[in-house]
Amino acid sequence: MRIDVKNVTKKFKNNVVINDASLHFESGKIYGLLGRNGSGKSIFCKMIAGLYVPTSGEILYDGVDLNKENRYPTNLRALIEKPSFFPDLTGFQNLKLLAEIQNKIGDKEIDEALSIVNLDEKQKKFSKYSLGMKQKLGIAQVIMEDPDIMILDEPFNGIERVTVEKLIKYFKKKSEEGKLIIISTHITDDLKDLTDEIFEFDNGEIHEISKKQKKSSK
Amino acid sequence: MAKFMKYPKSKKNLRNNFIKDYLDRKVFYILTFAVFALTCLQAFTYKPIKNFWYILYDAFGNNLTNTLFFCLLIANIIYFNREMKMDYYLINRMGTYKEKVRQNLEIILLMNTIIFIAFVIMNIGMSIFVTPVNFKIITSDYNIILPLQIIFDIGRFYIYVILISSLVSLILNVENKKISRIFIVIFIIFTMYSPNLSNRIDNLNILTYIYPYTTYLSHIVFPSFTNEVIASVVNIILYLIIDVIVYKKIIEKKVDI
Repeated sequence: MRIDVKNVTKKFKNNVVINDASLHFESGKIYGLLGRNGSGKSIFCKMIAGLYVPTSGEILYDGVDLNKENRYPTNLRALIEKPSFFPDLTGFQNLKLLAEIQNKIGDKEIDEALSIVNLDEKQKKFSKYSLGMKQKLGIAQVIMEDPDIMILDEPFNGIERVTVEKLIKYFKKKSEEGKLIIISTHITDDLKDLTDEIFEFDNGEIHEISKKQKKSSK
Repeated sequence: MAKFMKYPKSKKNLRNNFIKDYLDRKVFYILTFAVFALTCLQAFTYKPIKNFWYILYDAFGNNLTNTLFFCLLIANIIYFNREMKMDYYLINRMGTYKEKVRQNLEIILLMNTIIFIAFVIMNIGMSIFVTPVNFKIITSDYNIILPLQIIFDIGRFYIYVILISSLVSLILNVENKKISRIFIVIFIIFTMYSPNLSNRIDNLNILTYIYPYTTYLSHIVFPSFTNEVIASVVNIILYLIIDVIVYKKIIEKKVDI
């Protein structure tokens, strides 16, 4: 799986949020997007997820421009900003409802995803969840179907250290299995040891600031 | 095949949960109360005939009530688009922009159907409340029994609810928000506009077919019941054509969610 971002610009009225960005992402790597709040990371993540359409340029998924075909990448799962789940359903029921849309997984996989994010109170209604629990449920909906591409915008906000460490291990394992993972954050420490490449967002420009040699390529 | 058969169930579950969520929201109670106020408004105006069927027939033909009712439906759609529209994690699983537009549309139509059912029930209840003893069946201006005329009126009313809700909902998907806002304002003015008609139309002509839908609902008397049915069907087909054109145009180009 490969995503090519070619000369992508995103404007809202006259405000240029992303300016002529060109970069690519490929399977088996974890990418970090770094930048202060409001630097355009979330907008960029939404464009990669197919939710925002670039003002100009193109995003190719294995060479295909899904925006031109009015499609969304269905093998991609994202956590961007806080997801609004159904308040009267439990965490488990919310995930089950989502899982039924593509009907690829059953209750076992949902339970596993909840266990990975350490969300034990799965029978509690979403409306009773704390911020951290909501965030964990958001991550669980990303990982439960074992997608090819995972996009996580500020995933570790409000989550205790022990779960963060567990998730870091999980993402590394998934990367080794060939998944493409993009993690966006404004905290440099979150990306240490986790990512293979880091891109920095600054005033609409995107620069590569770090690249790690993969063990397998040595 | 098995996968194909399971898909509708998931869509049904999703819709049901959206509707359940909507029914738990304050906005639903506010709208229901507003509909109740509208039915009270028309029920307590002067009625020359104190008969249940006549009062019910009159209830669905009140121009002011109908116009305000459609404004409430439009407000409901705007609310859905601002506060309840599908989140990105649902859309990513949908696969196509067309599917996303269709799912949104189905939920909005269900929401407005619920409001319409409340409107019908409240009108019936209010008509019983105003005339609890006189249920004698009388005839309409076309000399057909009023219950039959009322069934036709309610059916036509519901078709307009569906067509107008679809149109407004689709227009809200237009990429240029300024254009969609301008259209909604023009559409509300169109809904409120009432051509200066006497209560009777002597001949069907091209203008008759393009009267605003609220005019059709306000009990204009045509030369015959058949003429009313024909004119209504033509008018409905015009709205249907507009809906289909707008739908095709909307799904042609994916826009930001």
